[in-house]
Amino acid sequence: MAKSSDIILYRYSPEIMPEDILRKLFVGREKVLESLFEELESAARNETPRFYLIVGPRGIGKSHLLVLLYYEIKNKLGSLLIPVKLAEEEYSVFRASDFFLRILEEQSAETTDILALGREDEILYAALEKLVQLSKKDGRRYLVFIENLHQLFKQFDTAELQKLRSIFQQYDIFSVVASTPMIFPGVSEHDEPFYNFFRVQHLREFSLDEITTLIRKIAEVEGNEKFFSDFVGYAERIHGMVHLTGGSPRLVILFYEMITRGELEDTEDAFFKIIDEHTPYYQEVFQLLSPQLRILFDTLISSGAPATPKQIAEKSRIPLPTVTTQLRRLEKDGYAISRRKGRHTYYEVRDRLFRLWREMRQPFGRKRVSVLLEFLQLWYTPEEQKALFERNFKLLETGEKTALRDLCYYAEIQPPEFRAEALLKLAPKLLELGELKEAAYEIRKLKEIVAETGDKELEDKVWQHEVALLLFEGRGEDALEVLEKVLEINPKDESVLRTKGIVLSYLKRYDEALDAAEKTKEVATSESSKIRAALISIEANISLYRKSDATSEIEKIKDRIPEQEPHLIEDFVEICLNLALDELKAENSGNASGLMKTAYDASTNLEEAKVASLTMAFLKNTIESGELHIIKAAVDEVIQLQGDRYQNILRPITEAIGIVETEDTQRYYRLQVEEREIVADIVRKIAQSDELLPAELRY
Amino acid sequence: MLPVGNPAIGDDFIDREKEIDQILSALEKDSVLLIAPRRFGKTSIMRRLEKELLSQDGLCVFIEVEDIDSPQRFLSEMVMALLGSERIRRKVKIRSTFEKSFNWFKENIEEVLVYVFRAKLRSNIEADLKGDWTEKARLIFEIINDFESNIYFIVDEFPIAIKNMDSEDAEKFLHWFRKLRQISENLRFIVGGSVSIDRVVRDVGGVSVINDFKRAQIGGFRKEVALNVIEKVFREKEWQYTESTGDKILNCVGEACIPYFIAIMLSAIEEEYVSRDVEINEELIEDIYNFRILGSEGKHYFEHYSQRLRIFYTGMAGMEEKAARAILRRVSSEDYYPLDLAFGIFKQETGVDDHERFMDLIADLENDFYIENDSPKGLTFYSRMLRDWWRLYHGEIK
Repeated sequence: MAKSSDIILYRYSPEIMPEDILRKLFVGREKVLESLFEELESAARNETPRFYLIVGPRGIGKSHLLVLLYYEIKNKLGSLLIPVKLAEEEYSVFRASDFFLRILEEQSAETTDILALGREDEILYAALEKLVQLSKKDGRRYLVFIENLHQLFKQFDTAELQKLRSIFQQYDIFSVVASTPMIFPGVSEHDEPFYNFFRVQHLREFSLDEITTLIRKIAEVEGNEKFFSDFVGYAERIHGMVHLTGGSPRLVILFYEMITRGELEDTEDAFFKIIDEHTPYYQEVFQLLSPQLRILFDTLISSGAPATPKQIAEKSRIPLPTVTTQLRRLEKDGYAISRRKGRHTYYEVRDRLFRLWREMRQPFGRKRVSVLLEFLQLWYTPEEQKALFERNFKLLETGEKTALRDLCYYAEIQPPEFRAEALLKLAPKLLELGELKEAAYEIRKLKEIVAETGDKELEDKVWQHEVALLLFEGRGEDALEVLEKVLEINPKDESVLRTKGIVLSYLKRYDEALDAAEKTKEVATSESSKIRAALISIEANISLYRKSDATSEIEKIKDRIPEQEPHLIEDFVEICLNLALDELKAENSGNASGLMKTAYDASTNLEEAKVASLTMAFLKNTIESGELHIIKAAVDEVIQLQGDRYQNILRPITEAIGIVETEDTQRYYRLQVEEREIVADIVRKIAQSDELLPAELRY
Repeated sequence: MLPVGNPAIGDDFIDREKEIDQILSALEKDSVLLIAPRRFGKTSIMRRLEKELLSQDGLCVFIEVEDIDSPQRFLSEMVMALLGSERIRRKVKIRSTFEKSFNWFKENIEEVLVYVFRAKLRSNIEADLKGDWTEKARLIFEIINDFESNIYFIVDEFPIAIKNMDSEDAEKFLHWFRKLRQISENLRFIVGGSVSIDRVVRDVGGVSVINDFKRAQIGGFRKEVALNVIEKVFREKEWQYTESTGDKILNCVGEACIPYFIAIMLSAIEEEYVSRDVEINEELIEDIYNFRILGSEGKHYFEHYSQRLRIFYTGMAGMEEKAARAILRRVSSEDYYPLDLAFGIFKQETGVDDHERFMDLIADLENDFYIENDSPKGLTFYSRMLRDWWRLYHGEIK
């Protein structure tokens, strides 16, 4: 389905626009048109030819100018000139004869007798003679409009170009107004037949005023009353767009569409689409350049900001005198522009969209495409930026990972007042998703904000993310170093001490972890903080095989657990159940039973699904042990404590136990098909072989 | 407005009375060779000569031979030009005369359309001239010699046609062409082209084949003509003209007042005016000169001067080009550069202590309008604009 951007561009293609609309939307080039028209008129009256080449990047308005000039000539100089407009792409014109036959064709002149001649030279001269004849008869001369002259010339070999030039030199009845996106070797190289043949007219970009005028005129043409009433609100966006992309009329049309449709997400699609559309053109531009010019041009583009010749020389490692010369050439050929600032001259790529395109070609990675960032910042209001972030964050939370890339951009463009908040949300999410590089980038950004603002509260949050990142990256020692630095400032920071305990446990320095946990308890200002510290102690003791100390700690805090935050309860339950399993393995069923009861008692305020999940995890671990008596004991205990609450979870396990004990593999066939595999897997783990599996499930 | 690129004809053509008179006078006895580098206005002068000769009731044809690559095509082009000239057809019974001697007119013009007839005629002539063209050529010009009137052939881009030809053909053609000029009293040729004819013929038989031509050197406009041109353009465009503005423009262009350079300056002024709607004053002209002509756009116009050295100064196994560049580099940094010091550079670059060869090189550079030998002061660039450009892009790095 065509997007609206396709439709609007098609609607405003000069080729199909009615003449009155063309005139209405003609902005900023009135003097150029007038000057061209006057020259052509004067030349026509003097019976002398003219050859013009209009140069400007894609979308700058060359077609519009040419088509309007065509109408002007047709309407006002029809008695002197025969305007002939060739198509934008003339794929069948690759000889001089083809060129003149096309002119005859455009005039609806009969050519069968000419084509019947057969020989190329005869066809050429017959076509030419016929044109001369028609011109004499009418008393008029030909004015040929050619778009994309560079394309046409590419189709001609040198001999044909020489013929064409020779004919133009000899016959005064032909004038040409041509256009091209850039100066190309066919007109700029000394050895080429058309070297310096055309008078070149560069079309410059629109100014902000001209763009504003054009947008208003489009709205007028569309009868868009609402646009005018809301216009003041759009002014800043327009300003931003001009700054970012330069004053290309084609883009202006697309901006108008984007503004008036007002759909936030489509804007980027349209933006990428515009850039993508230019790919063949920009690739061609690069191909036209010599290798050295290509390097220089690419260096200039990648500079991002205007650069002096010296800066370019350093970056490209090309000698300065060469750089200076070549930059001038790039400017002459319309690829670059220079601006004087103080003592220095700065160069930048003329077509800003080219810069955007080049940046978009970089592979996505930590290096944000700066131009896209600029665009997003300029296009969206702060409120919209916030809304975009929130929307995409929600998407990510639902598991929609494709939202991640956009989310990173939106985080980057958040206005200062929202930025830290956005990054604080994003960083842990990125860690959770395993996007460590992205997380590191965001954390770095957060640290920059802290350094800029001196926001202590933020600083407190940032180090936590930093430590988490380091742990994810397996850099425990570095994480510890960060913590020690923070503790230097405030040795009694309970949050830091607690985290230190976690990190030390991670590094298997359990005694030190215990120490840190104790210190945390001493300075803890809240119940939950004490509980957290206690949990660290418990885990450290378990790791040090000090079960009694661990159990003792559990006893101390178990009654306070149900009142805690869910994640603390979960951690407690998990610890108890893991320790219970250890006790079962150590054949201390009494302890195990006690611990399991403690766990379930503590979980009364947890969501049902969470408890089920913890139970499941416990049972899985039990099954992993492969010990039938342990598994049986665990299952019995769960049933004892929870009744038939978890019968669905337990059923496959009890079935597996039954099969192992009776060695009756026929029991599989009494199970549902889906269950069979699960049971078989459990049996395999218990029996440590495939012997008790049905044939079809054996390896 | 002066056209940039294509020849100036009709009212575009600006006063070259002196050159036109000089050439017309020479034509009374000799054929003429127009000497000037690219963009000096040779083609424009040729078109003007055509007009002048026609206005004097002369029989004149103009042919452009850039795409010609054989003697046969050259001849057929000449014949077609003769047959195509209404005046010639009226004055002499050219068609019937050719019809008697040649089998070219196979189609009946009453039966086919004129343009088809002419196209077929051209290819019939070419086909007939294949093989031993010299005999056919002799017959053709025997017929032409019998015409009572003088006939003038103006041939543009002649050196390129010679260059395009196979060297054996080119040598044969040039000898034939010289002989033709000697025996045909009623024929006059005006030839010229953007490429130096001397260098082209040197490789295919030597300059003796063209030493009968009277050489007409095309220089720049005279200063008063150049100022008139500028003033005329200003008035046409309704720009404010002052004498100082005109002087400023010419000061930038330099004493040679090369029409093409004037046209470039005026074109650049127009582009500035149209795009920025600025006041045209000396400051603007200075800026245009420094930042557009010498900065951005100039390279486009002047680069061929540098490229030409590479293409044509190929003697002494490439040393000639090196010496030429080294000399120009030094001359660009001075108002006048002593000749003996230039000789020192020549010796250094070529390793050869040969004054005669050195003077040949200087003569070539003069003929190609790079420099002048303003004795006793020394060597200087012919054009200030070219000198400034050369200094910027190929000058010495201090």
